[in-house]
Amino acid sequence: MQTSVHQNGTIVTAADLNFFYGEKQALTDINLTIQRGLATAFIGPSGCGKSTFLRCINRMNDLVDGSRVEGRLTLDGEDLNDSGMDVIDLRRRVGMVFQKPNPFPKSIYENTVYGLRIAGVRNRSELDAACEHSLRRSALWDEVKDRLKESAMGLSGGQHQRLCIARAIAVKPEIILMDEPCSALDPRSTVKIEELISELKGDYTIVIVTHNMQQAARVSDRTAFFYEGKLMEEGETKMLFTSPNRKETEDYLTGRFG
Amino acid sequence: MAQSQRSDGKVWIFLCRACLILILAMMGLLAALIIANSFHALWPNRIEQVRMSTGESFLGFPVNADVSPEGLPRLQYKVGNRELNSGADFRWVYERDIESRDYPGVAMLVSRTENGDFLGTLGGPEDNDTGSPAHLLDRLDAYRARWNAEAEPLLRQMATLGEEWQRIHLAALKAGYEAKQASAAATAAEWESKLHFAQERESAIKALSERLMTEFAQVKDGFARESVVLVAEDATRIVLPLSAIVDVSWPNAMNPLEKLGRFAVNIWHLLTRYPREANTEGGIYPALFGTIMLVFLMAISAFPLGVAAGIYLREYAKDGFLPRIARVAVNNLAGVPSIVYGIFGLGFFIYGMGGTIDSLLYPERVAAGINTYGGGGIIWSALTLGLLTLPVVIVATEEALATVPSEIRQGSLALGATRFQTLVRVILPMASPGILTGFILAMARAAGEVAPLMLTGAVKSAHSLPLDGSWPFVHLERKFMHLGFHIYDMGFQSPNVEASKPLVYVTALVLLVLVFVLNFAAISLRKRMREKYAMKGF
Repeated sequence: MQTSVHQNGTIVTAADLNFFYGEKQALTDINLTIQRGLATAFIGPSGCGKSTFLRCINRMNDLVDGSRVEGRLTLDGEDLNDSGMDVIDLRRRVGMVFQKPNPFPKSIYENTVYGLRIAGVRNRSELDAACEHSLRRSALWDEVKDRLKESAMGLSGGQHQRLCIARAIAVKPEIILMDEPCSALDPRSTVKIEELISELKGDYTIVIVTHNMQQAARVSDRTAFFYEGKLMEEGETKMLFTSPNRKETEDYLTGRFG
Repeated sequence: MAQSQRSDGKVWIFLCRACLILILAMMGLLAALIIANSFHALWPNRIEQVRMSTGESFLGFPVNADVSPEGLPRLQYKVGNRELNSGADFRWVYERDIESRDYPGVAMLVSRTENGDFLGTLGGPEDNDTGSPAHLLDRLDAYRARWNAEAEPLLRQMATLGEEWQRIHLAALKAGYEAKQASAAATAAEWESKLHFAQERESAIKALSERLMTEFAQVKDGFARESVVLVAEDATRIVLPLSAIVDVSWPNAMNPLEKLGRFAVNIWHLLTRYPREANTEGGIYPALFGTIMLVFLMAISAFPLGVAAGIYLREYAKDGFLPRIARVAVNNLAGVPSIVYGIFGLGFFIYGMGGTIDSLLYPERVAAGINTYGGGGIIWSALTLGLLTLPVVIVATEEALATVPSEIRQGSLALGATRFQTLVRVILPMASPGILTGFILAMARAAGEVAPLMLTGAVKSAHSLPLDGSWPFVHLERKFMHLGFHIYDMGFQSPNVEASKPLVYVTALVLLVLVFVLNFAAISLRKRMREKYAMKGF
């Protein structure tokens, strides 16, 4: 793996992070660092808190009534939950791709530049350039370049997801969070998205939540295993998959539960 | 086996289907009844010449058939010629008394400005007439051309003068009032001089208008001498001034194409002409105009309010006590009888708001007992109807917003959009088909609403439209005519209910078509917006 070239320190650090949905504790004492420029996979059984942790990073959990965070979570050393943190700005720095492709009912072009438009960019050539760049980076350009003005609704599911990735790239985030980005896609589209992730990491820090352990093994440099709201184990993907330190990890990886 | 046959519910499915068919049949029957009667009312029907066994004969249109209490079949004819038949337009005859029925080509139908229709024939040489239809039509054309050239300008002048008089009169009223109210001698004197000026102008207008009236009377006298002799079936002759003729036709002599043309002309006249003879004859133009304008005003008053309230309730109001109360109130408001809204409109809008506007802006008119906004008016009717449709609009907006998937919201928020940006750029466009559909359906319902209008400004006959060529062109305080109220008035308040029956059907049809057009617009709009904004599965 040539990832060590890009490895230049941590970007996200969680220290004793606890998270609550009302009374229910979803995350307990998470201590984790995410390395800049790498692809980090979160694995674990359903309800283990991996998506919750992911959503802490761009504070999407704010949308849930009665949610509460304790502990420290930093991005480039800034406390994410500090009252001085601008959520809008944070979400521009931390992009997100969802489980279900969710393009807007607009043209392909408008979907791609949406983040820029809401940030107030009016310059036509700037928008055009960003559109082309992001669509090229998401390997969609050749398929859609002749119909940028057509509705994005006409694309296939896999194209939808790549469009969502392009949309996230367009605002030039530092991190792209991916919440099971392939679970609603067919195998061929999945391969394309995985290729894309390998393509994008290095330039972007990628955090991917997945149920698919093979996928985690294929695309990620580091893997974190969550279980019952706790971080069980974190390490280099190869190491974690071949010689896990903990019993639970091994049981999960060998399919004894999950 | 027997068990499964009993529980598969075939009987219930059959009953449900029967109910559906029954409902469809009733709706179809309603539509068919109205359409058939409207068609009958507008189609140039043949005039029957009925010869009785007594030797008497008459002309008429068969309009009704039934069996008398003695068990004898009888027919009702519309015979017209009200002034010759001691005021009656209709006549019942027993079928056994009828010897023959013919359709003579010379039989003519004349609609007149007074006394309803005339059925008969043209006078012949003994009346110094050629008796030729073409000759009469030429004469009528020439007469109307001359009327338009000579009398119309005078009428227009008189109308303008009347409007000016109205304005000056109100200005004089104001000046007089202010002069009396003014405390400072200087202002009082100023108002006095204004009053003096207005009064002078008023008397000048009066003089001018009297001169015009004399002139018009002379011109009219000249026109009145032009007349035609018509002969009723019993050989009674009447001399009818050409000015009293609205339309003249010989339906029995028409070929199918001419009948079709006449049918089209009848529809056109219905939609573009004013009512005559206490609404029993003529067109429904002012009622149609009033209805459309009312719906339009209602739309621009209710739509922004309702949509804004719906957005706030769904997107911003947290699930607190107040929003919950608001929701319950909105849902209950949808069930309030419309007459209650009418009473509210009368009390709050007319007496409350209108009265306040009047006493603030036009104290002199209040002192003289003249209402401006403090009486029924199209604006108050529109606001009342707007209030009536608000709950529907709010609920439709809320529901349309709820159908936008939460993934889409999150997708926008995750890109750094604020909630407001997400709402405006993504959610509202996606919800717009639902919002608009709900709104147009509410509008269609309001278009047919009558009860609240009776209290807030709809009238039997309005002398001027709420939108016309006189300054300031839009007269929101004016009373107006409305199709629904017109139906009620013609059908149940008319001095001659039987004669206005065809018009009732026709007006009902126009109202139905209006509502249908609105609904159709809603459906096609929804379809188009769905194609544009809907989520297609993947």
